[in-house]
Amino acid sequence: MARVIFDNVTKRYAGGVIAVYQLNMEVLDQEFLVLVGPSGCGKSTAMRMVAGLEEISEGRIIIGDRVVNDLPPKDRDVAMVFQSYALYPHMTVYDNLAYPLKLRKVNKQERDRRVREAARTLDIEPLLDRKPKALSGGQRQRVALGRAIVRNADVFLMDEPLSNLDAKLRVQTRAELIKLHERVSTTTIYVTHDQVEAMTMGDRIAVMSLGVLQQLDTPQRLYDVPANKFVAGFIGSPSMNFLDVTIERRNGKLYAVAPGVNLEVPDFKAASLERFIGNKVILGVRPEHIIDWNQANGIAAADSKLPVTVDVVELLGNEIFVYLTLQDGNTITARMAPDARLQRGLTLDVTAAPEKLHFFDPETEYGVY
Amino acid sequence: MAVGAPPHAGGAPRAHRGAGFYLVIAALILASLFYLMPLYVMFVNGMKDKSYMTLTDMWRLPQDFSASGFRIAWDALKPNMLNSFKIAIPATILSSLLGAMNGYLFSKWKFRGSDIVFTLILFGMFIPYQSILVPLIQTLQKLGLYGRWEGLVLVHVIYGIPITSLIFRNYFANVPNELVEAARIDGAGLIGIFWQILLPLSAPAFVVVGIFQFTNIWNDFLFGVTVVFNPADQPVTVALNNLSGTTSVDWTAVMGGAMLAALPTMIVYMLLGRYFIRGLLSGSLKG
Repeated sequence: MARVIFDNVTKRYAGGVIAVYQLNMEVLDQEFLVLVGPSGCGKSTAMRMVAGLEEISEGRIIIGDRVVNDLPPKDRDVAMVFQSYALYPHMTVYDNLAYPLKLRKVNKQERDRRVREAARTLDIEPLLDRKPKALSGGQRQRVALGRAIVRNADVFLMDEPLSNLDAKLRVQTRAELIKLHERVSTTTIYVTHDQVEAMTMGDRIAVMSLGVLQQLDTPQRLYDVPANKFVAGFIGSPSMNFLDVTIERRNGKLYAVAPGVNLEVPDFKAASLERFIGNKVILGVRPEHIIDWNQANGIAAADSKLPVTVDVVELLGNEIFVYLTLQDGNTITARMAPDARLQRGLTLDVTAAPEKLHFFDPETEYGVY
Repeated sequence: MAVGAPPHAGGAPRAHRGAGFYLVIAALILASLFYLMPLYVMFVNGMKDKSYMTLTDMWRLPQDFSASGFRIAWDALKPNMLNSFKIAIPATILSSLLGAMNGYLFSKWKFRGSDIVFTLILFGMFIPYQSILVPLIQTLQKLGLYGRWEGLVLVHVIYGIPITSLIFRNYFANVPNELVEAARIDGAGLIGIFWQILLPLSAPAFVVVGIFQFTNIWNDFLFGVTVVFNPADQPVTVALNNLSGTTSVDWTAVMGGAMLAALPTMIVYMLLGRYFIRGLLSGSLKG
């Protein structure tokens, strides 16, 4: 068990490309931390530096109490699960699990005990004599996990371990991974590009973009209080709607105004928006917070409304995604309960749940709180 | 595809074997017959008795199947055949292993300048053997290996390094890097990963390299005749040439001898040929 500290870590490749820039973060002991971001954001590189598969250009990485910058992978006491599983094709499942123990000179009896224990934990005991090519994708994934847990390593590193599974199996394995972590409580760094995986699995989530850490927080905080426009747009599906609006004061109230947009700002947001009065800000509204004005009864002020035209309706059974065109031609997405009235071409008024409005500084794109 | 074959009106969408198909087959059969002609001549004349063997009769089948040519050739070439095995087998194994190690390093442990070093190694393939004979002999003399079969093994091993390195490098390039990375995290080092992970996976590459090297080394004449001067130590290719070196040539023996000398490489190729082609084409490990 150990914490992992990134102390001002930068990764610069030959040729000057910067993959990770001045990363500072602490992964707590026993924490399940998810590194998430679009491809090329540096999340995998950050993890591979912990593993020792990439050299650290600047800064330090500390595992437990040791600076590991100059330690080879085998001396860092980390275990890693790869996206491709990287099982040794010529070895049986048993030998795949036993291999790291053999290399660490664990005696045969102990080795056997631990391999069987890990196999039992992951429900792969009947597969021990098989070769990887005789396994299904889900089974291979478990063996790869087994090879990690058999070592009782200080830190687990998981590089998109579920992305080669089909959708149903992925959801199932996600739950099992969470349970597994609750049982073994090993500090885990989990890399994914899938924000649903991140939200459902992480104790905390580190959102990265262009090599820079954008926000490190709990899933709920990321959703409620995104630090900037990138995080706001990345977390949540469908993603947050953004509109350019001007802040105006009328009768002692603040309003976010644009052609065809008039939304009253709740009082608790007013103080932080004072400095933008008369200026532009970026308004963010999540699709699930857009409400049919007729059904808003009392949630929003009477004059808070956006006249829109229904463009496309996507049925998902229990809910619908409605693509709406504003008067100025911009499009927003709403997530609503199924409603037979909503057809292409219908015009209606919508509003937004006032306490769920987000504002971002148009210059820095930082959240205004 | 099918030259001159009109498409069937409303025909089934499966490949149709038209006239073009049979033309191609016929051409292939003719070509293989053409390539088999020397083999035929070697075989039938090796089976003939010396007295029946004339230039005009060389296409005829033997009358009595005495196989005397083979017998004479076998008696004359047997020690040299053994020499060839003694040279080709260790040289094949050693150069394959060295190639595997090189290929491993050049594909999985790239270092600064490794691509330049690799290019320089490949250069060895393009240097004509004849041009380096004098320094080669001088070097072997310094090493005390000139005139000995061990020297010939060394020459073949070194001359094999470029091609074996190339084949193994390309083969290992198809082995996913994650496998090496997983092994590094599991605790294996540079050498452990080679022996425990990559070598067990490289049987197809060894077949390709093995056939290639065995055939090349077995068929070599130039190094055999220059590095080793004692006829009793020379490989079969040199001894075969000596069979016809006397004033009166016993063609039945020469033909039989040529057949015998070609036999090992033919057997190797027949047994492993399909792996050879498969290994050359794919070398993939997926699935």
